[in-house]
Amino acid sequence: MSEVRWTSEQLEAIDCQIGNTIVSAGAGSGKTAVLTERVFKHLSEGINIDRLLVLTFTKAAATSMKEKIKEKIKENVEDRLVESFRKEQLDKIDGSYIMTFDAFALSLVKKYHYLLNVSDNISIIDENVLKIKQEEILAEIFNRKYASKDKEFLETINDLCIKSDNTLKEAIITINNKMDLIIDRKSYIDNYLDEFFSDSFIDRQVAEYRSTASDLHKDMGRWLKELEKRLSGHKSAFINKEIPKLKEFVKDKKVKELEEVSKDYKVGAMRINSEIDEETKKEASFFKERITEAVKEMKEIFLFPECQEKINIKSTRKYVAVVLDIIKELDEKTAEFKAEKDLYSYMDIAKMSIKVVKDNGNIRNEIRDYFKEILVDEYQDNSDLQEEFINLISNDNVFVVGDIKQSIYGFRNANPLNFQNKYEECKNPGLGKTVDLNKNFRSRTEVIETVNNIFSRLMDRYIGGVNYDNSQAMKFGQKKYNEHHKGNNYYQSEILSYDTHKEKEETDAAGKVSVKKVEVYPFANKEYSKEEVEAMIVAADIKKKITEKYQVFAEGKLRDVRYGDFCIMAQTKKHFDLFNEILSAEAIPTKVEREVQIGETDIINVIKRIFMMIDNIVNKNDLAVKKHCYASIERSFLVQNTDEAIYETLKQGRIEDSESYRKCERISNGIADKTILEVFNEIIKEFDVYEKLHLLGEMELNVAILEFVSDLANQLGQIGYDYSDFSRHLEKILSDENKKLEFKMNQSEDNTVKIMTIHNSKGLEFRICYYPLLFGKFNISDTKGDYLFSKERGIILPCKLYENKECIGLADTVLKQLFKKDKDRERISEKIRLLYVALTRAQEKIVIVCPLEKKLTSLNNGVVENKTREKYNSFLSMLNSIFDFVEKYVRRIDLKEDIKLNKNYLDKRANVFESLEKDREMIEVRVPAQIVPQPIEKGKFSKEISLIDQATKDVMEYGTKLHYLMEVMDFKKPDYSLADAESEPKVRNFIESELLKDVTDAVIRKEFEFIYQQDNQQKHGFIDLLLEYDDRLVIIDYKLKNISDENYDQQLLGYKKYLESVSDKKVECYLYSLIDSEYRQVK
Amino acid sequence: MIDINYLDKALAVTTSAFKNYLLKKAAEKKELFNCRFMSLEEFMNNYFFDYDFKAIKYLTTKHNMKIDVAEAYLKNLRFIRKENYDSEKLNTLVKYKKELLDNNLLMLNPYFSSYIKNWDKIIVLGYGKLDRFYESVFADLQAEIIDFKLTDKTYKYVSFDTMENEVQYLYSSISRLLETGADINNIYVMNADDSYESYFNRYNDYFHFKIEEKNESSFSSLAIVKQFIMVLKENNPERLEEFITENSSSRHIERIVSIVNKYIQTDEYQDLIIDELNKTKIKNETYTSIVRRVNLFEPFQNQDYVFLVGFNDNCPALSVDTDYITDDIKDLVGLSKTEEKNNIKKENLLRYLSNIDNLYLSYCKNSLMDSFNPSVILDRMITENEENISSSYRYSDKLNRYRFSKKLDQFSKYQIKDGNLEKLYATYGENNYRHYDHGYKTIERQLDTSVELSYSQVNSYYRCPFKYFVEKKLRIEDETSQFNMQLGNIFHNVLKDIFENNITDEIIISDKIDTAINSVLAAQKYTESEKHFTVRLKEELLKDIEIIRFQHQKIGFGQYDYERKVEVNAAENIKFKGFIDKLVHQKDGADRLITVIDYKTGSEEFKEELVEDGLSLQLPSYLYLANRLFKDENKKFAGFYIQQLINTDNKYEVGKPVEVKKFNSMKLKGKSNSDEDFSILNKFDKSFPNSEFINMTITEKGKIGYSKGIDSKGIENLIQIAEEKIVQAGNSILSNDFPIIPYEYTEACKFCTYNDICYRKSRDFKKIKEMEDEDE
Repeated sequence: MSEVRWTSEQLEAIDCQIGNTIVSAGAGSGKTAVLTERVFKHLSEGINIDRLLVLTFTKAAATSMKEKIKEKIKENVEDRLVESFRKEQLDKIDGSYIMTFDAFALSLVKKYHYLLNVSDNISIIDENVLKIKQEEILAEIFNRKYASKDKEFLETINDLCIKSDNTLKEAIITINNKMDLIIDRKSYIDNYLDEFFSDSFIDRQVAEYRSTASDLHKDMGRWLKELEKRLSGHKSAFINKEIPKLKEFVKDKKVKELEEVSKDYKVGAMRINSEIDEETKKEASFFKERITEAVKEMKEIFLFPECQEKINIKSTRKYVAVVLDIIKELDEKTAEFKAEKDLYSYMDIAKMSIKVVKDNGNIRNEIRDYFKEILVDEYQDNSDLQEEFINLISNDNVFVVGDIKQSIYGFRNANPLNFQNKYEECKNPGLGKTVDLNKNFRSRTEVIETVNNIFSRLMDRYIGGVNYDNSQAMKFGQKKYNEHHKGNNYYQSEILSYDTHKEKEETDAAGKVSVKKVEVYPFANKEYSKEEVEAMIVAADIKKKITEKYQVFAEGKLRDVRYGDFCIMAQTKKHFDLFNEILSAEAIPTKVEREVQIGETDIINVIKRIFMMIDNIVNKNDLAVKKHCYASIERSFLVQNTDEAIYETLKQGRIEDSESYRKCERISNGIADKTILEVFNEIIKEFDVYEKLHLLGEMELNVAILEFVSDLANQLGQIGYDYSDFSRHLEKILSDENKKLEFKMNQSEDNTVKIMTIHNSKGLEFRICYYPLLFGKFNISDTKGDYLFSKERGIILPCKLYENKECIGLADTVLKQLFKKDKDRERISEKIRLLYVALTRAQEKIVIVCPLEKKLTSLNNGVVENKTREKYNSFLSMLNSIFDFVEKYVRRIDLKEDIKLNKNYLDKRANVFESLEKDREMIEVRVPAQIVPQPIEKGKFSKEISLIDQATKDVMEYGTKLHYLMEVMDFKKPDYSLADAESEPKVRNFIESELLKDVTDAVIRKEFEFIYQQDNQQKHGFIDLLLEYDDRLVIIDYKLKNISDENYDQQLLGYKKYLESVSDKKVECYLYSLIDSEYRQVK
Repeated sequence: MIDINYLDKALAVTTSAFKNYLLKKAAEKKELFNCRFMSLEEFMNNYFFDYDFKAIKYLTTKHNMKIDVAEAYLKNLRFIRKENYDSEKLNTLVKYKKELLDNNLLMLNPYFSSYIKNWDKIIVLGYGKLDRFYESVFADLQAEIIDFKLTDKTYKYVSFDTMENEVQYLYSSISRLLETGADINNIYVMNADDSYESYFNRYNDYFHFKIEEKNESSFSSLAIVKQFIMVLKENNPERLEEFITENSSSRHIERIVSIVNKYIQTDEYQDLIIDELNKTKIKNETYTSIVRRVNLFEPFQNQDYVFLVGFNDNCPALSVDTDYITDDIKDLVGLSKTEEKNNIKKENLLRYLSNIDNLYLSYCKNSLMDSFNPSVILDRMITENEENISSSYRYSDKLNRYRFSKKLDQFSKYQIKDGNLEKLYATYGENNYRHYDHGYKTIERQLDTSVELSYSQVNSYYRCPFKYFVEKKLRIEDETSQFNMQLGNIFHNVLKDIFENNITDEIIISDKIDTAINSVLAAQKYTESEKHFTVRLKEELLKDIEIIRFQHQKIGFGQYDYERKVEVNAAENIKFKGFIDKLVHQKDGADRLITVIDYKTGSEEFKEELVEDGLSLQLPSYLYLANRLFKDENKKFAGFYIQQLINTDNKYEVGKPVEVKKFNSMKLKGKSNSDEDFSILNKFDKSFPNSEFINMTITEKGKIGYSKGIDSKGIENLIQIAEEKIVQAGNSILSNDFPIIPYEYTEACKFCTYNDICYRKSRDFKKIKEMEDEDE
């Protein structure tokens, strides 16, 4: 951006005074450039770089930010920094606070670890370790409660569970983890029962629920008007009778009144005269249907009288109390585990850092005073914990940048409400400042038009988080595109649409005829899936663009499109392999950029089984496990045995004779002395793993997986897991789909079509973007189930209903309905934003691929009405609901004519060698002779290995003390007062002994160190006392006692030899017993 | 480097690396000099004071601190040299120091000040520039601090995209050095952290020489240490002795014992012993004739070659202000502030490196988990790009083979034909690239001449033939709990017993249920939770009996068979055997009227559309068996049904209390014969058409709603398909046809534990219907 002139809005953001500023920056609006420029501006005003706290969400972002700022300092445009200051800043920047939230929190925890009583060397836990531990702890708690016949617990179980308690257990873990997000979790839980079962809370909830009927009522009014519009000028019984009734019904009413009137209200049937055209008829029935459904829904809302709803909530109190108790215990035990091992999650670190600043006013003030400004990037992704943290350390000096429309990390606890609230707050003069950056420098005007067209209909404050109005809409900013354009429709966005269904009449059992949609070719005979079809459409389009040399803008001019210009995006990675295969079969170089799910690979599964086999050999000897492991290893790429051979071996019970079993046996030898990493490396060697990888192909990936496992082995080794724990760990992770072992491969830039998830595309841009798989249904599992939790609604459990003291079933309370409504809205909001992120990645052209279909809806203030949006269940349903607005992009694809559907991609990849020439020159290799490392043997100690007692230790310490006295005592002018009464005679005896009679003539060396060779080995020697006379050298080695031991002689003679090698003098050796005050010459 | 003679009569404060270097020099030069070596830490411990575990124990006990926290305080005490500071944090240290002194827990060395005067000089070397605090200590003692000299130097430097490429360069470069006659003992790899470990492990195998490997695992990751800790916790000294004797051959026992011997009182210091065992790192074997790994700041001679890898932004590792004594109070005790410390680190490294003659710098932008930038001091160095010989192919066949396969990946995936690919092909030929086939390989020889099948086996075969192979032929048992099957058995056995013997006495029924439940619970070890839910089944079972009894009053057929065993020859060598859970029938003139019922404790349904695929075959196979059972009679089927024995829906619905729901859930679900104006069904169901026990409705037009009706032809058809499917499965099994074709991902494989035997791929799945897609 540096060569680009700043827009006035950008300048406003860069130059505004330190205060509370929020910059709402649309996609491609130069947000990061503004942030770095602002940092530079601060520097140019004399603020030191280490006095700015710059927080990012990823490590990569922090690194790149730091580099950019560094570049700016180096560049020093217009010499804005004085040279000495510039240098100083370069020195400071590496120790500056440009980092992720996590890193900053961790640095605080380390700095103030003593206040938290945690180690300054805490590690971040592998999350699977924690998950597994949590499950174990919970199972223990449950088992104990069953065994002790805990009354309340059993009542809860009996009332809520039918065949097993698994679902409840899972729910408890989920609730517990969600509670972790609550800043003051402890007091939240402590006050829970009082708070969430208070009359005021319950009254509010019930009232809120019942008021949803009012919303419906308002909708009905609108629909009725629409209906009337369609029916105007026509006559029918419905118009004469029902419409007036409906008009009466939709008149303003209080909730109570609605409850009354809706009870017996029924909307009559509608028959429409034939003179109305089909389209209008359809629309009329659509609105009539809406009204009918709304009445039905209203009746459901009023199913229970208000007082019953309240009783229902209250009656769950006893279950909630049980759940809370369990959660408390679970949390305590987990905390104990963490403290014992000094292992924490990033969430723990965040909470600890908050605790530090919250509980310590002085530290809070210290930080507040220290940082001149706190700058936060991607502020829309702030979690509540991070928000709290910033609030604690800020001093009206927060500058945040973000785009609420790009908040897509709800599942990682991002709360876009923080952005929303701050934006509102900063609008008040005196409280802060807002700046909107909406000039887009990334995309062509066609892309921008499409994005604005779509999101102005989908997004508003209620759903999406912000009104897609003038302040939010993107404005075209990259004027260079205009100079390099191909006219008319060249860059127009496209929806490649195809048919999946046709209408067919069907008669049901009651003889009623209805029109149903049935799948058309090619889906009816299950021959092709929609995913296959869409992949083939994309492949054909890419091929066409490459062949026809589609023109894209790069480095100031138009050029032919390349594979690397394309990106295919989808919300999940589920079908990426299929896309990859289909595109590759069309000779389109394609790369899937995604996290590697290790659990699904051959290599991890066979390694797991080898570990299990070894563990079984050492610890269990379970036949079933042995057989299973054997079959797994033998069928794997490592052995490739035939099924027949495996069958025979198992039948004859001869597993022990197999080579693979023997290998495992060899590894299990002395295994108590091996670390996981050693075991892992032995497995690699014994089974020749690397040498066999080519059998699988995907070399880079498989090597990376092995590296990952090796890292994991190393990590778990460092927290005290042994091979057997590791084996169990792998087994547990790989057998549970909720536990993921994944990593993202770092991939280098190349000329391939990229396939990635929308989440991974965030922050990136591509010239041409494809959006297939839009029919994929959103995951709604977070609102499924009977046991739910949100911070606001609390723990939601069903209640037991009675009639005449007989239980008539479990019922959901209004809390569940409210919760569902909250979550549905949150989810759909986030999905709309996700689509926004996806479409704004495109620089030059958007290509959507889907079976678009018109779905009737109505707009409210230009935006699709809430009722419709609340029911979105896929991206496709969004587009369908604005069919009229996006129809102009549609290009119909005829699956028979335009695309040659085929299954060629399923053919095994052709033999790669066929297309290689063999008669090229060969590679010259001269492998040198092996250099075999020689172990350096350590000196053998003759002493036996055993525990010593205090007396022995005392003696040893006494020896050390005497040694030391000898070192510090001046032998020529001894000052015996240095020694205590016990030691004094020993020291005196020595100094006055025959050995030292000529000491005044000697050069005295004490603790003389040297390196010498003995038995072809390099050794380190220490001589306690070395006396050098004119004619001789005297070595004196102090021993406590027992100088007769001949083991010492060898060592002393080695010393002697060394001295003889560096001096011409003759060398004498003596052993001196400090206790017995006697000596012996060694010869 | 310093002249050895200069060290005579000196107290040399230096690192052990420098000391060893100097001692070697001395030996070479045959110098006999008088010098006492000490590390900086050792010197300071003597100069100020030292402490041991007793001080740690004191702080952890008295002030309830974690061990690490106590150690952190102790490390800072030496900086405290006054009685009072203008800082709360420092005064806390003053307080602890006083307490420890009062309790004799700080070990002062009374001799040291006079001892150091015995030496002509004190020299500090190998540390470069020191922290201000230490600098002033040495200044007081008029010690000489020998800094690294900064020399003009041009550095050989190269950067790589990936760690793999960096390592390849490293090995190739070392190979070349060795080729040109360098001694391997003069070659060093510096600064490699543990992310390089797995590369060294692999490349050591590729090349003819080895780079030293390091294992950073904690001592407590050894099973022996874990066992030892368990014994330690027993607080039984004799047991401890025993353990040590039993494990005397362990290569780690000596270190374990030496750690314990430091403390003696194993009970009192248990936490400290365990802490130390946890913190102790594995000792690595040392070798000669190996490329040694060294840390920064080791001294070298001019014949040494040093490869500094990972010369990235962690080298030197700079820090932010996280010390206990923070920047704002460092002046009070005379410590260097963070920025100064960082500058010292950079300056020291720069100077140190400028003294290494044959130094090769490299770094990579990406490791598996991380991305890096170049070292912050690179800017200050004059570099020349080292000739990149990482593309060299001349030293290792094994590496070449690996690279060949990698290039084959590139070629087959992206059509990228690297110039060397064909050379490698010419050299190594075809290499079984992607040759591994996880598919089932047919067993040629006939394993059996006949087969006896049950429904569950047929079902298992169609769900996935290979799974059948694993279970029935390889006889590998599922390692997971058989709990659900046991539950089913309780129901089947009790119902058979009660109704076959017409038991009506409530007490006897209750006893029988208890017995059945207890026998299951006694037989195997279940969790408390499983036991609880098993016991609770009694309630459900009692209701089942009551409702079935009611249903019997409405059933028009007179004969009931429970768990009726039928064995038939489906084909010459294929026997089919089954137990029909409940067979209700009776003679009706010349006809035999029949209904079959299948008990389920889960909530399965009969899905006719799956029958052709060999699934949902349970009821058709009952029909088939019943048909053969009464083979000489004229059979007419009234219907075939599933009866759900456990109601899983206890949700409130208007007008449907749970009791009603249970009653409804027990209604027979399946297909009823709609032939002959329902005359057969009419005879079976006395409550027809408003059936009180079959889940169906008769519409106004006199049809069975929701495709729950079937005609006799349809039933015959099902029987025929059942037979065909049984025979087909039998023949496939006899011809060893066990391909890996699970029918749909979620269904067949979700609870299958054999996926690490079949190594299935997504394309193996047989799709039955269009699946709804959901995001993750």
